[in-house]
Amino acid sequence: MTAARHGFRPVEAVLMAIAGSVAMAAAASPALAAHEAVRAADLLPAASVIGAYAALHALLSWRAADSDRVLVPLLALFAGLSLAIVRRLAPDFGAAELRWQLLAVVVVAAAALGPFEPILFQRYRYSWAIGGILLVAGTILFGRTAVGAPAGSPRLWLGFGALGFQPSEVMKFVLIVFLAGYIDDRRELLSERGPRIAGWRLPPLPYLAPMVVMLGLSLGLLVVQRDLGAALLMFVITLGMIYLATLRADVVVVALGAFALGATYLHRHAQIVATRVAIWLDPWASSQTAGYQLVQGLLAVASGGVLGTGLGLGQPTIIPAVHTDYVFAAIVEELGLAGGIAVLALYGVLAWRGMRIALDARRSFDAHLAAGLTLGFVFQEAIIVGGNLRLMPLTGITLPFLSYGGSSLLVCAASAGLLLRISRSRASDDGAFE
Amino acid sequence: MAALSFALLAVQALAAGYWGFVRADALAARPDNPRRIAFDAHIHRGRLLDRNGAELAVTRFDADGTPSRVYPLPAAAPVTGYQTWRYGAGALRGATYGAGGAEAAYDAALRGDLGRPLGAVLATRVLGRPQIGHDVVLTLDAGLQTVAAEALGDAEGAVVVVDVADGAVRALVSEPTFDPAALDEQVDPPDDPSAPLFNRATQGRYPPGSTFKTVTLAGALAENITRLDSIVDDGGDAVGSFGGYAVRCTNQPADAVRFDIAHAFAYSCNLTFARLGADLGRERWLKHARAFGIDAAPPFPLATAAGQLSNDGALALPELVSAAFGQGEVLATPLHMALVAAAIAGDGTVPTPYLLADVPGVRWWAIGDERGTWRRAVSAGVAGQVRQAMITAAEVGYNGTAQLAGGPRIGGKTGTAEAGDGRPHAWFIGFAPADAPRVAVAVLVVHGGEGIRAAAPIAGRVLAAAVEADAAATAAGSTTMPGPARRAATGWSRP
Repeated sequence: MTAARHGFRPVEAVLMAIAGSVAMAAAASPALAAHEAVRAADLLPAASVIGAYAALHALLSWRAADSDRVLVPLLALFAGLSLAIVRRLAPDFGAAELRWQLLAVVVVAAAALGPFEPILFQRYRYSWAIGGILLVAGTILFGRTAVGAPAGSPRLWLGFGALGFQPSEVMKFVLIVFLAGYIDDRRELLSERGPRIAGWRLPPLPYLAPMVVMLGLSLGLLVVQRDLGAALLMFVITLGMIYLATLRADVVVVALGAFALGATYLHRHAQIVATRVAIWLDPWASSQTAGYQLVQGLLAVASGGVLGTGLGLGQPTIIPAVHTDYVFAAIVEELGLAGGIAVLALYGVLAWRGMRIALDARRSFDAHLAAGLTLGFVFQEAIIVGGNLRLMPLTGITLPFLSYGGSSLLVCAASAGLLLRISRSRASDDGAFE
Repeated sequence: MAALSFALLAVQALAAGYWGFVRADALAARPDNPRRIAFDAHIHRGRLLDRNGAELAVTRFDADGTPSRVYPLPAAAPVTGYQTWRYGAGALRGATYGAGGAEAAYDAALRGDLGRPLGAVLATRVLGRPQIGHDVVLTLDAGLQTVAAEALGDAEGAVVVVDVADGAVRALVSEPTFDPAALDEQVDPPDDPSAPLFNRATQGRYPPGSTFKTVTLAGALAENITRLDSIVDDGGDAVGSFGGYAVRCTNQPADAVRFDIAHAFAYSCNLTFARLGADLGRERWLKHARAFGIDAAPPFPLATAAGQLSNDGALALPELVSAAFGQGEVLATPLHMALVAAAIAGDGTVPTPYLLADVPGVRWWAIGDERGTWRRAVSAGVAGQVRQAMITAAEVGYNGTAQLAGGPRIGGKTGTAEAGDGRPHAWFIGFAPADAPRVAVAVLVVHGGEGIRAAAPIAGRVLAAAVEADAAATAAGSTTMPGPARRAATGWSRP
């Protein structure tokens, strides 16, 4: 903690300027495509969000000059892109998207600078976990479908009137916090050797049990809800965090084996899983019916070429649910492979900073929390982009920071804010990006 | 874990590259790709023109910019094919019928996907300007096409007219046909029982009947089994038995008992050609029939079908002798038979039939149409002798039918092909003018009855019109011709 508490952050300022330029260009481009002129109203949303992040940058210089220098510009860039893309893909959601993005800046600031300590999460982890499970259970009992969704859609929403949120997003966050606390408590025990069976040492089962129960409960609830994407995401996050804590490959192998068994069972007995897999294996056979979304997504990617059609000049809106599930395909169509790979690189930067923050964290709990949050971003991105690109069956989850979706965005913002907070308490300055 | 994250991202980047680069063209070409349809709606698609510049297909835009493809000569539908905004070019269900025609074959040129300067490509890509396609000039003669379609009338059948010199297709009629402009409104035309999308000229396989005696005669002459002036006693009550299969001649004048081979050909004497087939034997007969390309699909921009010479290659004696006069297991398309006529009318080589005369502004190699000689059928000398037999046949038998009074002198051969239970298929193949053939024709009337009654008069009208058009074009000089002949001389044909 040698860095000053106050101090201008030139690296962050430069990166902010770049992010702001990109955001403004992204805001102007669909306007140029649509009516060949840029009006103030086209730029105002991007300008206000970038302004909010610039204010956060100033706030960090004043209150936390030693925090990570890359995250805030990265968030600003994501926000600028998301605004431009969502406003272009679903103009009806433009106003709501702006509200969520502005609220997200507040959430980042609160999580990063608010008067609380993350250690509180650890202290009350079981309360958190039970609260999370109750949320999901409540969704099963009282849940409703997304506003405007056809009857029979998964009922993933909880709330009253126009106020609604997806508990599974909160559940994901709660799971990461719980796991970080639990792992930190039992780290030494977890990597101890358990009973030996047939020459293979089991992990100490009693210590794993609460974790397994927590995971099983949440997965079960989500599977009942048919929210397969969230279930898969929570499974791989848990697996990643356990591996990071124990560095035991055999645990991963066993867990993947259990996953394979469970997936096979679901494939046999759950219609929605069988359908998703069948579409994944051969989308062309049902290109006008069940496979329509996937085929149209691939056609969008194919139509982009290297440089894309230009923002606003493609036809990504042919894809159903493009603004939540198919943002990546829309990006490749309009910004090309170059734009798509650039976006992947942004997630690479996020993973790099997140892991760096985890490695440099002073407290073990902070390290596990930072790693878990980072894994959450990476795996969520991989699951939805992998689904878009037919690397794996499609499950409808959001692309972190870029898709339209209030619950998702606010949870991502809270996670990023926590990363920012954890980066303030790093063990040394070696990892700081100067 | 950071390494795992980067590996995951790298895999995603590779997958994006796979779909967005490696598979991009294949996906973009999918007929169910709505982007292609939307993009196509803004293309100023080039026109299809006949050899004299008459419009065969042209895109018009109405007041609100909606394009429609207009076909001023519906009779040319088997050649032009169709391009619709519902189906694309040639992407109709049942496209195995090949009804996409020139619209599909030259789609890239018509759309302007090829042969455009870099500036135009950039203007389309970057500025979103409409893409301008190229006009495509076909070898088709709109006037001749109209004559042929009218001559065939409502009958099911086909007419093919090719240039003897280089295989340029001047007319290609298939009935019943379709209105390419109406496909968007029609409900599932592939299900129409009359099969209007089926191109009988290039893909319909029919027993060729006695027109196939031309091929057998060429083989027999080439193998020195007979000569045009060899005398046979096959008239009257003469009967031959071939493995228990009795064959006689039925069409000769009542008093004709002894005649030479040329007249046996003119009288379409089955017994004589059964003998020639038997004398040739299976292997030699097959060799000469194959030399004409009957069992191969001719290279052509429209989809073509291979004919066949035998079901299984066995060709026992009864099958061999019936094949020698065009019955039994022999099947050929009208295009095949037009090419047989062209080979006999020319130097004994079968030309590669072609349809593309010119794409102004695009170099020929960018289009890649094939031209030149497809294969050698017989020597020029044998071709000359068969040609003489066909001229004799016209003199002896086709006055007033194929040989019109005042029309050009022709050579030809009729065919009346037994076709299962129905009436026989009527055939005629021929060429004109007799002394220096310029055009060759094949006419088929499905279940039309006798070739001399149903097919020969059609061929007569078509040959007369073709020779007249040829003379007019020659008189007008080469400027009005898009110049396939000229270009052939300067090396258009591919090796």
